[in-house]
Amino acid sequence: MSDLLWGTLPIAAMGLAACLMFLLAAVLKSGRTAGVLGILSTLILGGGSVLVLWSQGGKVVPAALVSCDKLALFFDGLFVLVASLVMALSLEYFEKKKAHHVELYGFIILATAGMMGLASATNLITFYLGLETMSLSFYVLAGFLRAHENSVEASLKYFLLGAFSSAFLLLGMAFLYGSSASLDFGGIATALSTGAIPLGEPILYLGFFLFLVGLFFKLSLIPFHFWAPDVYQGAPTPITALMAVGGKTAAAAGAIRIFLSVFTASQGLADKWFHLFMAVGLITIFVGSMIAVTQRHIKRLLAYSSIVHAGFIALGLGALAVASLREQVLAAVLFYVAAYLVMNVGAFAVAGVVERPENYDETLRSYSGLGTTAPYLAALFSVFMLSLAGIPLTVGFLGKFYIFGALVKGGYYVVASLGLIGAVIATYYYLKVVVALYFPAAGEEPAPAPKASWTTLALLTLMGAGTLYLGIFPGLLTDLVKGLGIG
Amino acid sequence: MIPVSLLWLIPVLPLLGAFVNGVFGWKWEKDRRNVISGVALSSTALSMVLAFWNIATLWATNWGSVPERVGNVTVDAAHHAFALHLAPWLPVGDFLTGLGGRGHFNVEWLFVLDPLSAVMLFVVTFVGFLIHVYSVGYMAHDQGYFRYFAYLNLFMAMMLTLVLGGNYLVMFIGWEGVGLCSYLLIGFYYTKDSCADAGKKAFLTNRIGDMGFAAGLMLILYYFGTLDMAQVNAIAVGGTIPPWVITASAILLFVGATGKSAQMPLYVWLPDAMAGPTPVSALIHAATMVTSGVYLVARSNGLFSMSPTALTVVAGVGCFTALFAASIGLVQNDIKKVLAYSTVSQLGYMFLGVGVGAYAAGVFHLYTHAFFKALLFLGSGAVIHAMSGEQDIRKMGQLFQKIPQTYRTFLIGCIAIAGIPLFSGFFSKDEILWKALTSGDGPGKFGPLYSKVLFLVGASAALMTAFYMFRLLYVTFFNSDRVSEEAKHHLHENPRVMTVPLWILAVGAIICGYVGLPKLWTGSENVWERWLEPTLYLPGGHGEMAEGAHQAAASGAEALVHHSAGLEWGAMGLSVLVAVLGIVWATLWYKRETETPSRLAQALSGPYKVLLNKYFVDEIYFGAFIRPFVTMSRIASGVDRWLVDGTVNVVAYSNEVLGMLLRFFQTGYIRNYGLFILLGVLVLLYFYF
Repeated sequence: MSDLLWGTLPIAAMGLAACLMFLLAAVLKSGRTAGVLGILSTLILGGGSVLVLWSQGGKVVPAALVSCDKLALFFDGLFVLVASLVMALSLEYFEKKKAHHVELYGFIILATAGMMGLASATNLITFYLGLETMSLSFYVLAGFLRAHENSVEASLKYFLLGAFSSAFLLLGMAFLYGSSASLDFGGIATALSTGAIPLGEPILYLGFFLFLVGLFFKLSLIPFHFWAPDVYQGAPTPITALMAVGGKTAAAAGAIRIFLSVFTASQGLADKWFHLFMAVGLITIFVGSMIAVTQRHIKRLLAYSSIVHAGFIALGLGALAVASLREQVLAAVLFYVAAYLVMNVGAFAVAGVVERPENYDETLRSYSGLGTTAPYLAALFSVFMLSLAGIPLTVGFLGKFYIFGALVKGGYYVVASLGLIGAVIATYYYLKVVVALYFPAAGEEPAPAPKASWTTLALLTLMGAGTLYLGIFPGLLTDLVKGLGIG
Repeated sequence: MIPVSLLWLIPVLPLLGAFVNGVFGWKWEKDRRNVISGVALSSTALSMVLAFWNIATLWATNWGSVPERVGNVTVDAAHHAFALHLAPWLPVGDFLTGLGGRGHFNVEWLFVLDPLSAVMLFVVTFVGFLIHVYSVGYMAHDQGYFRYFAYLNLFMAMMLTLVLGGNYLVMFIGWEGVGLCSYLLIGFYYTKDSCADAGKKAFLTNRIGDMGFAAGLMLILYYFGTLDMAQVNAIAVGGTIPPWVITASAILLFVGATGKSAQMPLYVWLPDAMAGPTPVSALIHAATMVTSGVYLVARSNGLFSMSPTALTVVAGVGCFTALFAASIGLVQNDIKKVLAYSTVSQLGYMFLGVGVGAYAAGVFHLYTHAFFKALLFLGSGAVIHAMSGEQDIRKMGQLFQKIPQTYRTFLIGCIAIAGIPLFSGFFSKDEILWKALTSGDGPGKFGPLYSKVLFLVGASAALMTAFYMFRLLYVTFFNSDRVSEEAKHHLHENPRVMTVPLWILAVGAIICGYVGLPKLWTGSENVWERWLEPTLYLPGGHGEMAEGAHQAAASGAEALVHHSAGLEWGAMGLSVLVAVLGIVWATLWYKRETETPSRLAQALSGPYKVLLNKYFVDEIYFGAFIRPFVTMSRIASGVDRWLVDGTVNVVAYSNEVLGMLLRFFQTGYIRNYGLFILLGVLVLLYFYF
């Protein structure tokens, strides 16, 4: 097999799995069977190809449309993981909602293929193709609970605003293409470094800026976040986890690759990148936390939480522009997204378990006193909350610690201090949930224990253990992300 | 080497026990309490067995022929230390230190087994296990059985982390962890306000100390470039660090120690901490947690030895606390309060020991104290249990016939703490007093006057100790019978699950001192000192001295000036004399009911009231710190309510207003979002282009 084919193997494998799932949907009756098949095909085809390629150190073909370096493979691995977890959680969730359609799993896998495309694209066209493959699947997935008004509304809202932001992104791409006469990342970089910009700098800067707006939207950074709380709240909970974790990680992956391979070529663009990400990141952390404080609904609170986390990721992405910090910051961001995956999927999984069939979100009231009625679930949820808040001995603490550590090392004390203050505000609303779990308000009866299947509990245990294990022994993950870069 | 690589399991096993009981215990609370105690006891017992295996390995190691590294265990033969490098934790990287050198901020999960941590390991696991056993009986009728054992196991896990931690940060996890457990257990009967308040008091007082500790760690990291304790000690004695840094970091660490180990001026929480269940008082507030400050100083001995100023402070604070707390103990009427002040006073002795540079002697007293004080506390618990919860000794008397087992073991504890020869307390207390007397030319460079003052104050505290302990014994078990009819009805000897641990500890309180017989008696070197000697870091670096000189220097002042055997016999005679004097005095006044104490209290009503009210320290603190602080908090809370909450409310309210506005345009919802995004784009564009 030629290297060119090898390089597209993970994406192709996931695409193939998606096609298989859609074909099988014609004959399969049971959503459960489809789910198990979906998980198996993702793990075997997707996970297998990632492992095989990783063991060979990745495959990079010059001038190909995608790059399959170890950085891309790291992200591919995360996507396989999150997709499998989400599918496994869907088994119980959609059964409970009586909307277990067999097509669900095909779309999840297709979205995963899109994420992989976004993470490994080295060309504006493949970048856009990956982004839209992912987004279109998300639009469908968000509306999967057809009987629930909120789900359909979330789907439509996401679609319209997504299209709106894609317009910015496409216009940005067009200007970038016009300025450099190339769609290939390498080609644009060459044009930038040689100064061969036909349309002049203003158009280049405008293109760069509009392109970033598209990214900000996908990362749900404030003020481009408006869709996120509504969509995350209305969408089926496992799908919310997929969007919040997979979608954002993919957008971050795309941002990392295009920055490292294109925008480092121009000092002016790198500086703008730094300032834009830092400013938007800090605004996101502060405003997001302040709004989150007032939330009473868990999914909405988690939506704001994911917005704030995107803010921390943005600080890391911005710091990539500092050449002396680049290696350390990249490792920190990769650690952060992996940490974010474990704890956030876990948190959404608990939200899915507690959610009653007729509701699409629950208030804190449904969680109050779970510490006595469902102690194990409550203990796990506390672990996820503490980790999201960034309490030591959890993986969330280390994620923040590495990002701030890099910022401090680079001498960006003000950014680091502001970020830390934001993190302190954020602690409040996570602890509010923990307090509700263990100390129900006076005169309140503890909420009844929700039902959870043993598979869900096993997955939750796995993620809780991962959150703690990686928080105590981060060596496994730090070794993995050390020295990763674009090939 | 096998046991050393399993060192991490020693804290993890009780942690697992805490997890199981904490999560599933509520199911067994009602009718399967033996499952709860089974989980708690077996995890602690396994941890103890593993600890003993490790200590035996340490004992049997031939340091001349150990490899430098086996797997992830490194060996430091000069200091008889095994270090288990379990995994990295905070690998941050290199930085520029305050002295312009290269610092390494790479914190790992480092567990160290050396003679010093072995002593603590033995005390914590052995006494801890006995107290677990005792608790099965003591807590049998209490609500929250699973909660109690989950906390107790969590405490063991944290305490063992503190003990085994090879760098300050791992130790700090344990340090904060035991503080949390102490808070939870003091406030165990949280429905009683006094208990909840006592828990808060302990937690807040400890925060002050912990702030000192944390500041000390930052200073050490910045100037020493590492938090590894062995490295910090080695760098400190290497002489490259400016003296003020050493003094400042040592004193900051000591501030942390005064909080945790209840020394002046932060001792106030410990007497109140007696609100917790009595086995907790025995384990946490007598035998283990409160001694961790002493352990911290002994662990950082290289640092402290290099700073005469810090040692002067440590010895002075310890000595003064010993006398001060003992004087309060003279007149208290609550059986546990007397023991609490006694603990504060004995901890003062330990600090006196480490403060005069006699680290081995200080740790020796820590070790013997763990036995007799745990014994006394458990004994007091047995009395309280038998008396259906009564704690006031004025309502007891003549109990020796009713609860003979408890009486006999309590008597042994009293003799041991009073310092009667051949009981453990004598050896350690005498060692400390002797080292204090001869400390004039020790590492603290105290001079003849200060060392004599330390000795005399220490001896007076010993007199008081003997007096108040026997006063307690007589008033409780002899004197006149003042037990109420109600209590008499229920009065019974305790079940075996409680008396057996008492007897084991009593035997320990008699014999545990024999590992440290003074050289004066045996003619050969003190076994205890020889065991701990490799853990000491001496000025000028460890390996650089000739073996003989090194050995001599290790035994403290003796190396520099030879003190006559006559002087040592004299000092020993004096400490025996004060102990006997104290006991005789208590016998005359309290064995039978006499008028003397109350007449004296009337005659000297002023001083008596001052002592009875504990020098009014709580009241002074309340006026000087707490009231101003509360006023400040009120103001801050006002600011919070108006400004912060106001802001939050405005944000929330504006959201609602926005929400209401948007509700008008049912389909305009998304258009609004689009508009905001467009606005965002324009604003960013305006600022950047």
